[in-house]
Amino acid sequence: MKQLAALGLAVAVVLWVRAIGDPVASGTAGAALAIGFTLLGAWVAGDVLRRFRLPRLTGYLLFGVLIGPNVGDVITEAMAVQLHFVTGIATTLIALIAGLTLNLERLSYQFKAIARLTAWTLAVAMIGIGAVVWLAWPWLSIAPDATGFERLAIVTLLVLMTVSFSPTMTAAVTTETGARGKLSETVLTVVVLADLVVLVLFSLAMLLARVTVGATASDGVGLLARFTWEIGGAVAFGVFVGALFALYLRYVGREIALVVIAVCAVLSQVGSTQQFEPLLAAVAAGLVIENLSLAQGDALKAAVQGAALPVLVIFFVAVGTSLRLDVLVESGFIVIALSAVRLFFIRFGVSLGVRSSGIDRTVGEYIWTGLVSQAGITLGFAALVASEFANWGPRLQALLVAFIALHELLGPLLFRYGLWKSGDLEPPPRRPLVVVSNREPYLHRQDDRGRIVATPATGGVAVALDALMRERNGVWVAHGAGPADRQVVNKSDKVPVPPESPSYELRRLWLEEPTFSAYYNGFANEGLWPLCHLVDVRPQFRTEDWTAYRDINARFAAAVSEEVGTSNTPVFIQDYHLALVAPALRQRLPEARTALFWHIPWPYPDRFRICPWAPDLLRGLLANDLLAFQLERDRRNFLMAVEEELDVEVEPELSRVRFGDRSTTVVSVPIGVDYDRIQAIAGEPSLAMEQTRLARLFRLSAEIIGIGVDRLDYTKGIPERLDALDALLCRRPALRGKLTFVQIGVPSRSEIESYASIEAEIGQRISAINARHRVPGGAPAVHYHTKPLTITSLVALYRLADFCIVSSLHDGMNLVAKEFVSARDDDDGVLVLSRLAGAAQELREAVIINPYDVDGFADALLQAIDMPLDERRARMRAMRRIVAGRNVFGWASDILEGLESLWTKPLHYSVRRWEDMPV
Amino acid sequence: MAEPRYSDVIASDLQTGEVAVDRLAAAAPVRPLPWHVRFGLSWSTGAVPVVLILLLGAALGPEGLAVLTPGVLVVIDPVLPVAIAALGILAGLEFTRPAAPHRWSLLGKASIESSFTCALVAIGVWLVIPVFPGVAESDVWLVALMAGLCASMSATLPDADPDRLRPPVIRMRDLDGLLPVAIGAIVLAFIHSFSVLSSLGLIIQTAILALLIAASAWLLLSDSSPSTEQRVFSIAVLLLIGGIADYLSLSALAGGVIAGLFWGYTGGIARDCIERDVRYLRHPLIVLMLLAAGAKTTYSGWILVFAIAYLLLRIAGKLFGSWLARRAPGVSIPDNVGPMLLPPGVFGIAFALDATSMAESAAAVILSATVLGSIGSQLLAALWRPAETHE
Repeated sequence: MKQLAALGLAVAVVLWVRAIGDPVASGTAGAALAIGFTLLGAWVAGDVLRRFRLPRLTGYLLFGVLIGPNVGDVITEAMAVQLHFVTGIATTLIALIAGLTLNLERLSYQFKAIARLTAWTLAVAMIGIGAVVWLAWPWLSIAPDATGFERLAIVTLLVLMTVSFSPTMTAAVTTETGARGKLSETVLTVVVLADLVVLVLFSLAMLLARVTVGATASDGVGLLARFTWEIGGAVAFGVFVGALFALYLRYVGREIALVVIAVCAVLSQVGSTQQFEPLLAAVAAGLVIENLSLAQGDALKAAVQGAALPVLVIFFVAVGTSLRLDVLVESGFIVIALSAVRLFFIRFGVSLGVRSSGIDRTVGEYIWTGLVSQAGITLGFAALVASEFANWGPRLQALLVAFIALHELLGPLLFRYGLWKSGDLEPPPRRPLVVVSNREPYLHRQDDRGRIVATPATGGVAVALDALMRERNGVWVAHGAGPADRQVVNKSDKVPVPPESPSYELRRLWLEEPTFSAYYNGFANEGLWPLCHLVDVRPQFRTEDWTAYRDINARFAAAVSEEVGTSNTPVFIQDYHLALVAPALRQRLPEARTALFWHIPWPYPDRFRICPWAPDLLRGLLANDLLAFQLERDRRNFLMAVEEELDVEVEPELSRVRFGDRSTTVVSVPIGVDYDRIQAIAGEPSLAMEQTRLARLFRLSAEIIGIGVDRLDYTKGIPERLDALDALLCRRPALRGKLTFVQIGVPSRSEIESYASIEAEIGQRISAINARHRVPGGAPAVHYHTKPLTITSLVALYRLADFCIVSSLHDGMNLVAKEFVSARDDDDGVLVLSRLAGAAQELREAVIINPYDVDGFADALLQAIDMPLDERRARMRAMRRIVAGRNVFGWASDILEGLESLWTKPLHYSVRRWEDMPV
Repeated sequence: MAEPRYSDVIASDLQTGEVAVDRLAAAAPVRPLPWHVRFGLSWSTGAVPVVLILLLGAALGPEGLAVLTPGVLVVIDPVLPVAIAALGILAGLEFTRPAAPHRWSLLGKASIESSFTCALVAIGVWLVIPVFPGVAESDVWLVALMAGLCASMSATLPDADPDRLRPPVIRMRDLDGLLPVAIGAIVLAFIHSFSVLSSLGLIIQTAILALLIAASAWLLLSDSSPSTEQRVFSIAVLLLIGGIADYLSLSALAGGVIAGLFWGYTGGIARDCIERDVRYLRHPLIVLMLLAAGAKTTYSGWILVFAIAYLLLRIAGKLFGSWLARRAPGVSIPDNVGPMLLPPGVFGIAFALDATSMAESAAAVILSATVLGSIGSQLLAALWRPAETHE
């Protein structure tokens, strides 16, 4: 209803403007008005039809008919003419997009088949329609007295114009519906090929007509030369423009949308003035970019994706405004009969062609639906004939105009139907997935009453992957660490999950001691973790830990290979614990498709070299098809490491490493949080109660509340944070008793000495701070809570806080920062964020600190406390935009789509230049 | 010669991989642009090199290489009101930004400064222009007033990051176009009808039309969710607002400002979508606008002299107008506000183009003077501005 009301307002405005306005003599006034109204109204019309399960295209066309000068006259004749300025560019843009979809490598193996199909279709259609037209000649009222060669010439012209197709309409329908598949690709190739043939034949037919009607031979030769120029010149110009554009995309790559429009305008205008076919030129340009510069083709396709839709809408409306339904009504029966004959012979020709060429029958069955539309090319032919042959040309043109009107209405409908039936409109089938991680998504334990309950893992990554698996199905392979895990699995060590509505299986591995400790605590957390984090903890590498790491990774690989079997199910491996799964898996399944996401930072090469088994780890990671890191910095460091350690070939443009007979694509994909879920929790009415409960629990009576939420780890910079708080309270004693900092510190890996010592240190420092800054009757300086909180409690706590500190000494991303921002839908609160956390590269509106600079850190805390409301709101709004735009589901999809695209063609990774890279 | 290794490329830039981490630890120093870069390029906020594009337009125009022939310019003409309307929308949205403090105070000061500049330039031009040929006597007041309005504006493209808090002087600069836009709309309406009542009627009707379109967009966008659909609606209403102004030969800037204010005050998803999509389009549109302005500039000895007079009067107006504005009550602004307001921005050129559809005989003069004066102002501003004001 709102849309219709808005359309009503727009109609009223246009009529009002026309009533009070007086178009300027220049004739261009009103173009923007026409285009704007067209776009808005057509979209609404298309949407209305969609609700009645009709194609949007039909809505656009009908809207054009209704508002056009021939019916409603909301768009006047003058405005409709101005609309054609845009349709010229639109046609060229559509043809460019069509060219970008024609990948010759993909088509080459079936080009002969398509050529054969086209030949059969054209031959059968032309002969069949020609025979019928010849027999029905007296009833067509074109030139009833024509006989012999003259009649033959006119019939030939009519047949060629009748048989011609519309690459523009075909490409427009394909683009508008988002069709992807064999039918759309085949039809587009057929119509382009067919129209090329028809163009040539038409020129010969015109020559014949001129000769038989008495024109001189030289005129005929000139005509042939002209058509040769039209086609050859168009292709040559298109190739030239395409090559230039590809160079621009590669070496400049800015303002692509503007340059695309400019290129289309140039193709359209130059084509018109130089008398060659702009459509062909644009297809040739697109073909060049797609086939000679794949990376640039992808970049261009992405750039025009958003721009194409408004252009398509305007195109279809313009077609609608130009439809002469009055002529169609007048010609009525003859046009319908001729159309039916055309359809019959095209379909017959296609079926013979499909049989002869061996094209897949499921596709071949619907090819004819894409060969119904006719538009610009046919109109152009008709106009040419009308101007050349004054006696019968106009009558022929009139018949064809009516003919085209019918096909412009029916063609898109039929083609859309064909695309739907052949499955081109369906999204590509999703393969099931195998996820591999050390930590399992559900942990089974016994509750107080002895019942076995499943506890879901907390943390954004686990939640996102769980959601992904629910959609994709498949198997999740993980270490079974729950006390009751063994009791719920079947003989294959699997349990269906999620418990409430199972949609995938969790395959558990039983990792016994001491091997597990050597792998997990030893190599992973005493070796790799401090190696990859730039903190003052020395990595510990032991041979027995390395052996255990390899052994456990091999066992994970064995389990995965059992699950994958002979299928080509993609495998998504998580994190640094499982760096050697891919090579072990590849020994069993050489064709396996694997992606690994390295969640933690990747150190610079000199540091990584500390690991005695650095080359083995690198080789192991290069056994993956796709390797993803959080940040550009990490990707860069990894590529340097492989180049220096293994002396491999790195292709910077494709971000691909060639090692042996394999190649690995390396990308950076920053992880996000489950923004929508946090928003939903923040909006729950019960959150206020939870806040009250937490305030009581933590005895939060202070005016100013700060929070820190961390797993107790030496990389999190908690002692440095406490030092800064101490300095703050020393600097501003008035804050004592008025400020409480709540530190949620959940112990982890306590069996490792470095973790145990940091836990002890934190506890001691907090006690010291509380003692030093105690105010009788006032709030404590620091409240320390060591139990994990549920997500609801965390969101409530985030909402209570005036500021949140993330002071990591080195962190891959740190999702607490993003969770805090997500939870603040009140646009308040200050995030104090370490520049050494990956999140700082995105959340630049946070108060950025260096945790090693205690004074600077304390200054930042003062800044956070004293920050005016307006500034807090502006900063938080800016950060929320960033976090909302990059959630954890998008992260997972990006990686998996990247992996899956490797099936069809190399992933073209757009690498920014050095100057553009954030540090 | 062997191809450089990936690590060599990095190493040559970063010395060792360690610097990748060192950069995290060290604060990035703010380096001012070298003087020759500032002189040559004259970057303004939003990174639109106004001078370069104007000169490029002039080089490509009919009086240069004739790539942008009159025929091509006719094709571009319908886009210009849309580009101008986009500027107006962004100005309206900018004024209503929620977290922007002291907006009325800054608007007052900006209006004082722009009024003084307008008056000074208008009077100066009115005194000087009868000497020059090519301007009809009846058009002298029009040329003077238009030149004053064009010269009074320093507003430029809004910041790339809409939520970044900017200093008061930058915000004042971007608000100084609002009053001239309003006055300019009245003047253009008066040219249209040469009757006070008719002009008022026309202005009111245009405002209502702009509001109706804005309301239409609000209805559409408040219910839409896919970003494709939102973008279609945003582009459609932008075209409608520009198209209305073009069809009625009125101020596209004013129409855009009215619509922008409407969306800014209603807020919500409509505001966010319009702002996002108009920002997305702003660079290509402004580039086209500046190219067209450069191409349409005519050159002659007396136009050059006129432009110099325009430039000098503008400088004087900006400096003294800022001095007056500093003394007005309200939020305090720094002493160097005068030089900060010297860059001409893009609104002056937009208004000059707005006027070309109506006052044809005077249009060439106004546009040429504004373009040449803008080039001069921008170059002067680049030399004058202190290095630490690098934004």
